[in-house]
Amino acid sequence: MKLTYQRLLPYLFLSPSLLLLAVFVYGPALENIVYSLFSWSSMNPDWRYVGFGNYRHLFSNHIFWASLVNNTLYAVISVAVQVFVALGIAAVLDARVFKRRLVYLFRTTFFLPSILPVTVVGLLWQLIYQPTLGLIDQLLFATGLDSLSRVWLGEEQTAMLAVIMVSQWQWTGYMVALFMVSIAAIPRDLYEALEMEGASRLQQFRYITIPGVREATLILTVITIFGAFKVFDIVWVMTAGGPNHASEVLGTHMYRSAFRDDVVGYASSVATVIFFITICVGMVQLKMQRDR
Amino acid sequence: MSKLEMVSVSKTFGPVKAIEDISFSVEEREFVVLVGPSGCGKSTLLRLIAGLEDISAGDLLINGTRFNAVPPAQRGLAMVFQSYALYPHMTVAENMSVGLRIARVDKAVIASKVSEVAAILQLETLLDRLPRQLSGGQRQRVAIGRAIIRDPEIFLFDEPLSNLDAALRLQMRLEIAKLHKKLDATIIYVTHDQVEAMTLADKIVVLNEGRIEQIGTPLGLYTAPRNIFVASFLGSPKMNLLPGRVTGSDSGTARIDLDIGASTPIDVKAERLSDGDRVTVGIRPESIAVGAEGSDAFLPGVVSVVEQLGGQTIVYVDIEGGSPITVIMEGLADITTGTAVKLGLPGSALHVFDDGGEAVNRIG
Amino acid sequence: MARDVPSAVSRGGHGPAYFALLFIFWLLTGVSIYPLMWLVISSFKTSAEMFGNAWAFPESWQWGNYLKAWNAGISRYIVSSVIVTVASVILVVVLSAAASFALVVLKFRGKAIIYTAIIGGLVLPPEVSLFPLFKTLNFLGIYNTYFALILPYVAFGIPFSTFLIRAYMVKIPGELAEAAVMDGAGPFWTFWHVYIPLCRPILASAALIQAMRSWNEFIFALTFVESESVKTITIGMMSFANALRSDWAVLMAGLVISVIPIMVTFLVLQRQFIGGLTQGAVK
Repeated sequence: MKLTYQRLLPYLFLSPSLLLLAVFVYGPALENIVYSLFSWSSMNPDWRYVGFGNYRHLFSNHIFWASLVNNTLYAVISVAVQVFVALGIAAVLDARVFKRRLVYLFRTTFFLPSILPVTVVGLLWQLIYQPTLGLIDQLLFATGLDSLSRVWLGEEQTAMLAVIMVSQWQWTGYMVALFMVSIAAIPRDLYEALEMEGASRLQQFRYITIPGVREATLILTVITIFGAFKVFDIVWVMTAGGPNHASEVLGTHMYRSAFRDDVVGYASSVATVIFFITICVGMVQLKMQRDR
Repeated sequence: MSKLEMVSVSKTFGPVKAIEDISFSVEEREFVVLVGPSGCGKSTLLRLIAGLEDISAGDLLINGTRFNAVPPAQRGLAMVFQSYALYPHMTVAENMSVGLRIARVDKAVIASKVSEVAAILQLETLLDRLPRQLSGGQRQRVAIGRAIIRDPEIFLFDEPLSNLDAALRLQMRLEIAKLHKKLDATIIYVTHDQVEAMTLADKIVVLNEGRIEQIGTPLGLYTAPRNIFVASFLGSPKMNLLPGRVTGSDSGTARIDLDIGASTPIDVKAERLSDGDRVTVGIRPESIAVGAEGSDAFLPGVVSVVEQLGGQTIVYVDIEGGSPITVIMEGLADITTGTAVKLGLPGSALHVFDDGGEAVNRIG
Repeated sequence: MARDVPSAVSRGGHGPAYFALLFIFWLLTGVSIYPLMWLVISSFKTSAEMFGNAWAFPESWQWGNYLKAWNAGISRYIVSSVIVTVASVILVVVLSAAASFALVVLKFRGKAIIYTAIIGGLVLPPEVSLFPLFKTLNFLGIYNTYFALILPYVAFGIPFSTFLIRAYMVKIPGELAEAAVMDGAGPFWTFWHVYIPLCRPILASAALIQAMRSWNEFIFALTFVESESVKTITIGMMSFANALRSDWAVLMAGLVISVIPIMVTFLVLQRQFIGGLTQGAVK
């Protein structure tokens, strides 16, 4: 009896977590795939098996493709800013160019937006983007650039970019902090050795910092792409995918299909696509984290 | 009846055999040292005794009873870990009394035991400190105190001195030896340091690659190693090993030509050898006489390095056609690098090992 | 992190490159926090003032905006958020610590598989489980209750916090657990009296991270509750904003109120916050 107890005890520690994961994470994720094979809605309780019908519909829907393009744009800009610009900022902050207090100040202020709830960020920037009264237009008027003023979130050309920029504003500082941790882990004497040989700051960055954060960069790139393809909240708050689907992303397309258009089976197929994209990206991440 | 007995014990980790068919016994109040190079299985062996690992085959007997399946805490053992394993967030007193508190011993009893043990180890003034506020030696004493307080049948020590610096290690070694006498304790002690083994042990168990090479008293092992491994593991600097060949053996006396000096035959008593056998001749550095007459064999060489240690001098002598030979001379020897010397190898101090590395004989 | 040894560059005279960098960084700082400052300043204005001059300070500080915002329902949302956050933080930390302890200290079969199963949750975006979860919560009869948020938050929070806590526990010398075994301790004693006290820093980090995630979570909060009395602040602010489209100043006061708890926590525990959020993500 004692032995059985001993053998089962580890599972006692693990089972609450495993149970919750099974019921609320893995189970639903798999169920979702089943859902996507049926045509159903909340109004109509009859489930009709349609096989890949939802997917056929999906792949012929131009809104789906437009969303995918927007997600891709989201990913590209986010990687450029939150990975590469952030790395540059982190390198400067770490390079002892500024006094220590200043470095802390910069790091903290850059980091600050990332702790804000997305609703607050979205609503705040809605006000900032507000035509005429918002901060942006006020800034343009103040500098005499009135002609550039526009309905930032209301025009098809600018809506997506305006939202993407808010994401950059919110998350770049967070990525800077991540990169600083990674750069700080590079042994100091590597820099000193190169400095002894007369290498410049830029050369030190090129030959020590860049190789030193290679892994971190890969992982953060993956995380950023991951985030860009599952983005929902900030878009939903700011534009809800509009105007005329101009800022539609997979997340908002899915949500609207389910809760506005009430085609839940179809929405599940969108979710499955998000699932597969993130699984692929996630596999890469897991593999890289295990390899290191 | 022995206090503790290991009978044909083996331990496998998956396909890897860590311990193979080991048997030895520990008597009441005996200080037994398990010694060997890293990876020889000595720590695994101790963990098998402690119950931290399960024995794959064989028996562990304590006071004659089979203890294989008894949980660690009920074996009547106390263990002192290599890193001391003091709980960083508990004070010295709390650390020492954990076992008693878990056993729900009366608080007053715990308090009196703590102060009793603290007195033995001179920890009275440190009882309210945290481990990080202690020096290495003090932590070591707390770890020992945690063992003593449980009044165990047997103490287990796992390389307890390896985290200390040289001076402290010497001091703690003496303290452990004193403690052994004072407590009349039975101790099983693991170390890779042959000096600790030689100085502390009543009985040494030499381990290598999961097997016992030899069991014996420190002096017994030193003077009569059963094979080349034991011979070269014990003693510092190491025993010199010189390859050679048997050239004539009659009436129990063999003649051995060393490869490095064919003209220096050695007479040894050796019934098991026959002509042409490859052998290894071993001689401890302190047994070699520099320039002395009357030895059974002489080797010419040139001094390459001299290390003056004060009390003794270690001389490394290059021999033509062979590896250098180490010699210990008493006191501050007046000898310089580059000097040509003759090394005398007294026959009575030679060890002869056969082709398989087993000792052939001792010359009495 | 910056080091305190002054470098060659900052010790020697500041060249033009230094000042260019300094200018850029102050500009970035402005971009980072000016919108927030604008939010706070505007929240004290009258609506008329806001339309007049976006940049100026208010002529008289309108504390009334805050009172209005608070009475317009913010208080209710805050209470819901606090309940959901506190409950999910406690559960996530306790369950993840227990799971990590088993993974690090205890011996059992299938450890690698179970670890992967837990950590694998990291790659599943909540969006994917949304509709089935909706049905599950209805089935369990907890739709539109605090549990509809707490349980999913805990389930989705466990992978990352287990990842964090386990990585920390692995560094605690295994000899401590063995010493406890020799002392006669069972696993529960070792967990509670050795590992929990020693893991306090990482448990604090994990708690902070979960607190932020729960406080800021959006899509579940949007989908799994509908009553105003259960809505958390993130979603509550949406209804609040819709109701107050015209009264900007009060809306902004509401926004400020909604970030005060998290902002105060951040400013007080800044080091743990940044440390915690950056731990585990990269090494």
